[in-house]
Amino acid sequence: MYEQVKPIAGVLLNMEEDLRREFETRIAETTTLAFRVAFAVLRNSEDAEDVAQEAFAKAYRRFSQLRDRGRFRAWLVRTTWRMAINRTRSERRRTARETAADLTPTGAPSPVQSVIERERAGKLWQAIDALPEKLRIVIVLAGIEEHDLREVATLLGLPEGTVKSRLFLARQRLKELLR
Amino acid sequence: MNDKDSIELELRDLLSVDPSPGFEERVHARVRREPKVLSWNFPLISGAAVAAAIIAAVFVFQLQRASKPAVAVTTSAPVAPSPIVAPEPQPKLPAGHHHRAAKARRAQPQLIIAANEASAMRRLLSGEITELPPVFQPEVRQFQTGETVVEPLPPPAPVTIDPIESLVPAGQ
Repeated sequence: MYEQVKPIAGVLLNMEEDLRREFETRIAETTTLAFRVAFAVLRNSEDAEDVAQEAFAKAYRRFSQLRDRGRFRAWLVRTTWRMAINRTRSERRRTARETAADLTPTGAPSPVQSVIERERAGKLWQAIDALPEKLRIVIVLAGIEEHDLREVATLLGLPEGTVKSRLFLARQRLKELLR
Repeated sequence: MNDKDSIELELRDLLSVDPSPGFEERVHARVRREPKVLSWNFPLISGAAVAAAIIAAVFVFQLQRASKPAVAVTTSAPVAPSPIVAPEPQPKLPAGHHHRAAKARRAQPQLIIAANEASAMRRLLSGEITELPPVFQPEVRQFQTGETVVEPLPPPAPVTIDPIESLVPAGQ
């Protein structure tokens, strides 16, 4: 009996090892993307890292169905976004968020300029938060890693035309809100 | 630079945040704590195996059922035992014939006839008896009703209709 089971177990272990190796490659390709998607919602590095880690753990559990690279990225982006939204909803009372000042690149010239930039960044985040979710995700994904229309459409599983019109609407709203 | 470009550039700046150093390592460590990928599929695999076993069992059951004799005999009510007629010896047929016969039986619809009824019908058809036993004959009852006398009706009285004067114009 053991002799019969042994080759099957060997095949399964090899498959497991292959899957794990493939998944580690995916992690290397997508950690920053997942982190930035979570950060766009949570505005807090620690929280964003937590959510991204959980999203990867969830992805690993379903990895046998998500082996295709494009499908994996799309699934990861949508899941991370949803998990981050859920976390903001469950932690509404948490108000201490990192301000834009913590996010600006180091070596900012003068304190005055830094204050101006911080205010401007704060307003932009407020405007992004005021957008409906379907517009917000489009503009955020277009802003992350300079994704083009087609890439955003693939990530969201939407037609390019829909993404284009949502992106246009989102820009219009942001312009109005920042006026 | 127009408004649109400036907003997008600002947004890109805001979103170009990198995770802290060692984040990727922490993700790897987190994933290593997860159970193996294939074990997550275990319920799926075992479910599929159970489903396959059920389908196979149903298939085998259907095959067995189809290979039973086409005519099922039921005894729904207590009846007098019919005389046992020794079956005539059947000539031996090649194995292929049995197979074809079984196939033909499977193709025919099943008849359910009471054992005593079937036996009586067989005897009637073979001329052993000339009529069915009284158990199988329809029950005929005769009824009598009392006579009724119908008297002739009197002839109808003659009907006279008076002219309607109001409809006759004056002066005629």
